[in-house]
Amino acid sequence: MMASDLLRVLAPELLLVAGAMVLLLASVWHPQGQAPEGAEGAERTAAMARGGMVLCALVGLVVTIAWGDGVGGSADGRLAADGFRFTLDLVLLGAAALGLALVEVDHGRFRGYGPEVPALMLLALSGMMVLAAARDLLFVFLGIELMSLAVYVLAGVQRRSARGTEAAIKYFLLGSIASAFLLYGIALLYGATGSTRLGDIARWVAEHPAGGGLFPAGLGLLLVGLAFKVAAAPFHVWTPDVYEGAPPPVTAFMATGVKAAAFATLARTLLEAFPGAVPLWHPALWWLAVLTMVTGNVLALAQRRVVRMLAYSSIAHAGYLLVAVVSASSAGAAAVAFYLVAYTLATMGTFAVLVVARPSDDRPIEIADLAGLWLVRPGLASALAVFLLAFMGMPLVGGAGFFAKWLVLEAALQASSPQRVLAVILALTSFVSAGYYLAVIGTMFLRPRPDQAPVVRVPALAGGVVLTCAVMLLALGLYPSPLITLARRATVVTEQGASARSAPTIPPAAGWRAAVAR
Amino acid sequence: MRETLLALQVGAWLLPAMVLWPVVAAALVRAVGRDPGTEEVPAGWRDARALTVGALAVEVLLGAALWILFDPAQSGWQARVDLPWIPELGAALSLGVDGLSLPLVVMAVTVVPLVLLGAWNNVRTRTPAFGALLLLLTSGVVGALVALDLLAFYVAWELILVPMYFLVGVWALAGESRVALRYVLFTLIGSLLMLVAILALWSAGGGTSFHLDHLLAVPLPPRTQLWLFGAFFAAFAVKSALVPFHSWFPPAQAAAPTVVGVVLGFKVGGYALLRFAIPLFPAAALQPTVRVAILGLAVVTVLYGALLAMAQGELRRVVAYSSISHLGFIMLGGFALTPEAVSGAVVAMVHSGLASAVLLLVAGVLEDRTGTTELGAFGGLASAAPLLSMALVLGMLSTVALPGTLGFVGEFLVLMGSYAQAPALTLTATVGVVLAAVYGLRPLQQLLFGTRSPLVAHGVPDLTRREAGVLTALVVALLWLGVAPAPVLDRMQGAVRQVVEGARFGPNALPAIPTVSETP
Repeated sequence: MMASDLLRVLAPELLLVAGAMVLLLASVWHPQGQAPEGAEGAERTAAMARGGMVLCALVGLVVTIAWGDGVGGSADGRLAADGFRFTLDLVLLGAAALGLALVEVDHGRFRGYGPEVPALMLLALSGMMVLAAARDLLFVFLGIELMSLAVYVLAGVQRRSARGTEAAIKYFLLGSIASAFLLYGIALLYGATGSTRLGDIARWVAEHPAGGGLFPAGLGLLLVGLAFKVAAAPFHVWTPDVYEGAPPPVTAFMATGVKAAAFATLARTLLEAFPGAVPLWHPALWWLAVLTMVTGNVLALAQRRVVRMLAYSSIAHAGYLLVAVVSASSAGAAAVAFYLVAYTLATMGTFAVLVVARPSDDRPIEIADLAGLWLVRPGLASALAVFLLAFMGMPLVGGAGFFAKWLVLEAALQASSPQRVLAVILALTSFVSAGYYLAVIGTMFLRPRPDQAPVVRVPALAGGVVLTCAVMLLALGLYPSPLITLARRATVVTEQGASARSAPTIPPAAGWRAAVAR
Repeated sequence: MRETLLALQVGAWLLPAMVLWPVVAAALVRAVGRDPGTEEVPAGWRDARALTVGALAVEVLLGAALWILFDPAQSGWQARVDLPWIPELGAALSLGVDGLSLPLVVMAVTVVPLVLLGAWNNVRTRTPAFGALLLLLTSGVVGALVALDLLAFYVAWELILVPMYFLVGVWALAGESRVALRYVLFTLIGSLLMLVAILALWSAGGGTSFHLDHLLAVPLPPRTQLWLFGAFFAAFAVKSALVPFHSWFPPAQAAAPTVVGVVLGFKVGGYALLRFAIPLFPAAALQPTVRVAILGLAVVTVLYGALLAMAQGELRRVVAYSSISHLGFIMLGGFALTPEAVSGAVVAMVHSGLASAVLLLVAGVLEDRTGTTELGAFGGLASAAPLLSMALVLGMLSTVALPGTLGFVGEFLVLMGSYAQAPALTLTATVGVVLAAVYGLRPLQQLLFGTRSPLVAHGVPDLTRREAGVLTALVVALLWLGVAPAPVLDRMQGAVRQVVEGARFGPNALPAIPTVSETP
């Protein structure tokens, strides 16, 4: 690959990494200050976070320009430059910018973040953006490691918190196992097909419909590795502990950015490299989707701590997104992009509320802590209600959350073999989700505020994040056309230039499921 | 009058205004309205209740304009407006009325402000939020009644749900807020299945339009129709509280504030069956097994509602179960699918809204004066509070379908129209009319006559002038329409014929409609 070619295609990522490096240097430039009770150099964290937000905006501008100019992918086909990548880039940049704002807000209350936190988030972001562009399994691995290593550290960034350390270690150990699966899968696929490029693999699959022994094993390991990253059941067990142990802004960043990037690469890999192997992965992914939707929603019902509940709900959303991936069409890719936008906005808004409403000791926030929030902070409570209703997929009051579910259902029902059973399961599990989302809403609105409940202060920045997320969700719920157009442009373009719309039809699934699906 | 409105081209914006004005007004009420309960300074014109009633009065005027503008001689959509919404999906804000929806729209927008006015002191806390949510709810109800685009209908349908959750939950009687959650969960499972069905139908129609007229022409195999009809029916049956999906309804209506309880009792689900489920999937709705099952459920609903109404010891619950019994008649009429029966069903929907409003207002007044609505606590009210007793008697007589009241018109038309289709079931349903007399007259006897109970002897102030005015208006409407229902029935004719003929001879209809066999 020519250096100039790489420079051209990876310009946004390179700018981001350079900026992150500058921030990292800046954070150690001055002699260390020692604020009592705070992390080292804590007085500079806010400035770093703000610098990171500006950098995100700059990179966003570069991405938009690159997209507008119609930059092509790299000549050797290892890096894509299509609508899917750029849409995902913008989602990821938005998630990072909002995450950085939350870090600043939370830092304002607890002084627990060192100045390296914003730089680490930006480095993780660069890994995510590489994932969105990767069309070579080695780039996939590179992106995943770049992202994961930074996020492992972020999960444990509050060194004084025992739960944070536990979360970081759990995440690191399980994440390394997942990476090992992924890498072994990549190796086996290379052994079977002789290439790590998605396009070459697709050609090999087309020429060898029978597959052979090595290929399914490699594909299976690859799927397991990615399923870990998107937190699909039964590979989800790390999620609740890690989400709860990490500081809430980091959790918000993980729940949106990591998930979005992992889904981007899952969708792209399956649609670009393995359209010919649909019969092989379709049943596996089908069951993965069902299991994830059911597990996430049912277990979320039992939670009393908000972040834990949101962790299970994020698993449930991974299940809905898998439904879009299972449909194996460009409509599915568009649904993934749209869903990730709505999900990112709702998640970021929810965590913004939690950051300001969480108790001032290190105790995890419980649903009961939100009791009567409406009576003291009506705007905040109403915004959180909007976010939760968006998770539920209610039209109008839930904003774009409804159309996100709509596009997923559309992709499922309009797939070449309609996934009716999946659609019905999605509807029924969404119904289950109403149980726990409404429990939170009910607690906020229908319960009295306890007398000893702490006063909730909303800093301007937190208010801004909440307002931005709520207004964007509601506006996109009233008038989703621009975002739908954008998402429809976000289709994966395969090497031959044909969009994935021409993916081969899914053969009738065997056995009882086929009977039900008819 | 009509000429003036036509000259002003009111029809071009009337329906969007009716749907959107309450939303705008909700924001205004929330922003400007003052809560008279908490602030020391008198709220004056900024009293949120007054603002809400004012905003709803505008809605009444719009409704009146709609009624005047409606041409009874025409069939098909009137005051139709198509605004672009989401061209990518083919969704548009298509609004229109015909004879089926017109009476319900006018009834809904009139009853809500009247009841709010009559139950002025029923809600005294956080009135700006209450007013705003009530206005959103009104927008949802009107939207669901006038939407011709299925996506817009679904949005409005869910818009009923969320404000209703808060209205029931926050302002319910103490300790009863759980009924709100039950209401949402019941309704949601039906509506989510309906969402999948709407999507499937839209896909079958090419994914280009959600308009009812477009989807009616989409050919569907009978088996597909059966699945989709099942999903729609689940949504509508739960929402309208058909037995056995009714168990959320009586506690919710009994616990909710008066005006919310009245809106909860609007038979939007029954309307949606006639507007969407039956015309879109006639082969499923008229398939003999399905039809007998639903007609059977309808009759069970009539009898079960009446029997349970007899067994209640509390006035609001009597009203709630009588409302369920009425729904049975509506379903019977809807699925009998003769012009008379369908007209009867629509009249019964209008009647149900008006009669529940009267009775729940009276119950609210009793609650306000004495703190209870238990039947056993009263006796001899007739001499203590004659005006209140008068309103209660007239409202109850219409509920039990005494000839000369609107209740009679609806049930008579339903029974007459259904007899030819299902004689045995219709005769069984007639037993419900007899039971109605029992459940209706027993509370009257307990409340109004006999010796004065200690509670009543203590003194029950009669209706205030405002309450008397509102109740008079509602009771006059019940009696007037009971004697002279022609203005409503005339406007209904064209649409009813269209529904019946469309279901029997439309593109998706069964080749030949078998009559329900008469071996019980």
